[in-house]
Amino acid sequence: MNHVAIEPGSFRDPMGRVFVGGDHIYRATSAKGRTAFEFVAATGLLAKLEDAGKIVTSRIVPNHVLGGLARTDGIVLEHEKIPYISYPYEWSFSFLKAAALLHLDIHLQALEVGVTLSDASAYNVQFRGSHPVFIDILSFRPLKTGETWDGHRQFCEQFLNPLLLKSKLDIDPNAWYRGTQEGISTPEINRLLPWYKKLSWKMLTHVVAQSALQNANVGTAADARARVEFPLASYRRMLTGLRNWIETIEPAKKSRTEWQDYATGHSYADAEQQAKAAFVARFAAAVTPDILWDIGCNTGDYSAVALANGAAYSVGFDVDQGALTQAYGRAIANDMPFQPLYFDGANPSPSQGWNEAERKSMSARRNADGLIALAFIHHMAIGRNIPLEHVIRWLVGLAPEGVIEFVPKADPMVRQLLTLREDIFEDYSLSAFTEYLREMAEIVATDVITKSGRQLFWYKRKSG
Amino acid sequence: MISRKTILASTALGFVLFSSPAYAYLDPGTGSMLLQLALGGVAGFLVILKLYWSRFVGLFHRSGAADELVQDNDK
Repeated sequence: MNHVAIEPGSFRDPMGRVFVGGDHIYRATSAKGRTAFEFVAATGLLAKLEDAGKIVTSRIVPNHVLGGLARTDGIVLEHEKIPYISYPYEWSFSFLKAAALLHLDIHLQALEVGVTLSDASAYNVQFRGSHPVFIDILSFRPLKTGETWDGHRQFCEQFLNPLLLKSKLDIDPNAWYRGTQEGISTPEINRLLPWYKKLSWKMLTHVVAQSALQNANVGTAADARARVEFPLASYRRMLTGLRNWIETIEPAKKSRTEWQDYATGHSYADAEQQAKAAFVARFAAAVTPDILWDIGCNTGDYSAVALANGAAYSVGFDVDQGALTQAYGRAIANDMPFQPLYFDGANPSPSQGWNEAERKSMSARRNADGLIALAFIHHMAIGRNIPLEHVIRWLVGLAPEGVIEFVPKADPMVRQLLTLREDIFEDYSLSAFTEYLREMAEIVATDVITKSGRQLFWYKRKSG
Repeated sequence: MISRKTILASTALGFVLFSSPAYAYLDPGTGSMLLQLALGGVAGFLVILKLYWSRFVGLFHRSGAADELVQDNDK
């Protein structure tokens, strides 16, 4: 048996804990959690949601698989493994919206059989490719007559308000979200939005009224709750209303990002693109990575090539939200196992949250067996002043084998980066690049793909 | 453009919005719960109105409302 350890991010809900043992993911319940799970399972809801791909698959396994870590009065579930765990502050608008809709759909379906969700944490949604999937099976519990939606405030903070920030104010929520981890509070979004953007029933209720009522004395709320019930029809209407609203929310029209047009507007010709694609295809066919990391994935052109030629799953990382939107569209349209995420290469996600272990850093979640970093290093080495050697070390450290593109100073894209600044990058050269790469890895193949001298390097990390 | 429902809602909620917040115990779920009860039907809406009535009246009779808020704060 693999060594099994508790997942440090799983502590908020006393109904159960998550344990990880090698590639196996377990969830051990308390006695109360077991009762709730058995009630929910008996309704047939979980089986239906599993079949529809909306929740992770689970099976009951003997308690002893956890070697004494499970409570004897609870049960142990084993869940399917999600290829790459991501957090809402790493999601594009499209991902957050898809996750929000999934959450509401599942909740509506649950209400039909007398089941509700105990919270509305966005961290309970993960992605398989670009399809959201709900992972916290113990969030399902029996619905009590007349109860209000416990997770409404959290839903607004973690889903609705970040979507509104992008949609109404054209501000990406990722940095703010990463800071708070809990999303954006309703009073804050209310203060930010100008009055004329709040003239709709949905805005007035979920944003304006909720903020105003937030200031009420807690005793007032308890009094009100004791006196009246929240009818099930109203509960459903609230969820349906939010669902219909969120479905229509789109990013602000004015955002047109630099890289969105990259596929058509960039600086090298078709033949050069084909050479690059052929190299990536050759790499993917030889290495057949289970998980490929595509650093600076843009709209996913080369993830598509890799997936078509032997890679099983690709996690894309890019700083440009417009490109991520297109990457999402491509993944959905072509049913690609491609998970494009937001990231800033110079500032990847840290370990954070309670005890600095609740949410893992990008490197702690490192699981790639193949990597491509195309047209990427000049953005780090020149755009962000990160020493070339550090960039190479970091990239090679992410995966044992990969393809890195070197973009020389003569290239128009690099010249553009240097237009308004002095060239202080004496170390940025093909020879230095090759030397640093050789220190860490063996070079399997290279190919010069443009007239400007862009060159691809297929590396294989030295062991030890 | 602006629906009749929206205008009605704005009017009804107006007195809540323009009354000063009571910085008592702030429960993160208070706003959400009161909103849901208010949206839950006439009964809930009336209960919320009634609970806020004293504050509304307080706008015109400062002293009485202030006393009540002080009491709330002392809880």
